[in-house]
Amino acid sequence: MINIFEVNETNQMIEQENLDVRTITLGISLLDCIDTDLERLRERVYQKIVDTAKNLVPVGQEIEMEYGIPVVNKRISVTPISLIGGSACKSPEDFASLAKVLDDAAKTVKVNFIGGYSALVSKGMTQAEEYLIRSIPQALAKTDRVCSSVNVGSTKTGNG
Amino acid sequence: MKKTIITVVGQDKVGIIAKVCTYLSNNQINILDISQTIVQGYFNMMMITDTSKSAKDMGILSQELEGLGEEIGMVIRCQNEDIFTKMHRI
Repeated sequence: MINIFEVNETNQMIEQENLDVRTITLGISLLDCIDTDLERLRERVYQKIVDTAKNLVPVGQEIEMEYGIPVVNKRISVTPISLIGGSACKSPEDFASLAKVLDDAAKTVKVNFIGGYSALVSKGMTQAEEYLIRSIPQALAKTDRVCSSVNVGSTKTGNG
Repeated sequence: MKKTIITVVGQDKVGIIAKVCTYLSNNQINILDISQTIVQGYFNMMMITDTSKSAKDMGILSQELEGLGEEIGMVIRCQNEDIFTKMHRI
């Protein structure tokens, strides 16, 4: 059974030390959206994200109300886009257009960030992964909520 | 059962417990346990309650109790028990 000292300690954390939940993240697999046609791929990615994440923000707000602790960010994380765009994207510009789709979907469901505009190249790099990496400056310049990363090494593989 | 923890803190005065318990009773909230200390005129109470039969949801109860607290010059918090048990128990 909880005692009064523990309750006071937790309340102090919330009220004076700004205890909060930093983020809630919804992971979405986009593997089933893969297509050789770029336009179809963009539509499928947009629809999958919007359908899966439509309740993320309202539920996050309900949780905040239920527990009285703020949830600072609501995020989405997707399958690395270098894999998703591998067959449809033939240039960095094609990949950047995928970033725009991620950004639009993030704005539709009102999340703060969407991560996954990424390439995992610790074991070497394919042509598609190179296009994605080269597209990153353009992609981030024309979007507001997209987060990008490149994984260049791991304990198992060293630096690729 | 939906356990919540209500804490009431502030300067001791007549009628604190009566006013809080009247609110709880009017809202079908059952009191399961009360722990209370008064240290040098400073009143500190924790109540474990069951809000499962209340018509109002947590957000509203929390706001109304906070308002009641302001009326009587105390700080009243109403929170889900889980916050505290997850923090302090394995």
